[in-house]
Amino acid sequence: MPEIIYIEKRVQTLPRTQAFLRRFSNPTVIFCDHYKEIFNRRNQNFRLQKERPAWIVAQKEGSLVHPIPPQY
Amino acid sequence: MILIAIACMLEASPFLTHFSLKKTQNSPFPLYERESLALVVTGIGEHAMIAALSHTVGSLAKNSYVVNIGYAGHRSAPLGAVYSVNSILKEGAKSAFYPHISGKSTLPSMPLRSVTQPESLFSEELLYDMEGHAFFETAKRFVPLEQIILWKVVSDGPKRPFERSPVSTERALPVLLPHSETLPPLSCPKEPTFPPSWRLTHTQRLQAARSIRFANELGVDLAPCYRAKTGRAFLRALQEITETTLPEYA
Repeated sequence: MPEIIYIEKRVQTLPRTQAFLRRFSNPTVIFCDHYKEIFNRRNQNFRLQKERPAWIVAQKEGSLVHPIPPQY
Repeated sequence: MILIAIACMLEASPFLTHFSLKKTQNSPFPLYERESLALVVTGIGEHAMIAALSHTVGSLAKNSYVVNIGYAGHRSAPLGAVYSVNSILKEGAKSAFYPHISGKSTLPSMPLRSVTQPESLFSEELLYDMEGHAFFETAKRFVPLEQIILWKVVSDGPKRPFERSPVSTERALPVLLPHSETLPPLSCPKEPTFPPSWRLTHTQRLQAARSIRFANELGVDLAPCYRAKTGRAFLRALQEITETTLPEYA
């Protein structure tokens, strides 16, 4: 059964994405605009979801490194 | 229960014959039923699909599959090929939809673009239909996302207009029937009840119900929790179990 991999369009050409995809022999790749279109949606059936978990390749965004507070 | 929504009678008739479905409603939308299977003929176009599906699916139990089977166009796929839909796009829509692909599905999957007028250009390597987006958008209001399924039969393409297409959904039956048998059975979720002596706030009841629902869905044994004598002890035991066995939902 092919693995299902959701990939954000903005990361599809990145070398790390390509390297990740090479791990799978015949994956079903589905492109999306943002991982939140798939992840943690409302009205889910967890039992059915757990029967076929999928991968999501996405880009982290926002401020990933925070400055140390001046009082520290 | 499985509800099949099909746009036109031409697509529906092979299923009506195969399953020996009986007409139980004529108006406003033809509805055919037999045991745990129902089929509604919605009419062509997104407005017809929204109206018929809302009218029919609203009376169904939440533990039902809602399936759309129908024709779709494709630029190069062979006529009669059957695909499950893995994403649904529509011009001008706020975002795309991503139907769940069921656990044991071996059917090849493909993106679908819903259009308002019959497609003739087929500029992308996608399936093209007229109702898929409206079907998913309506169905997701009534049943969990994992219980919404779209199966499409390629009926036309740029060099093969639909009017001259020899394809019938009958050709899809041998593919879809074994596939439909692999759909996991759906349980009927029961709302948890708590002994009246347990003093739980409304928020605690909601949080406990959520954890219990996850645990039940994943087959985690909650018997030790129910041995608690007070609500507080129950919540503590439930929290311990969810933290160890269901860390992602704790």
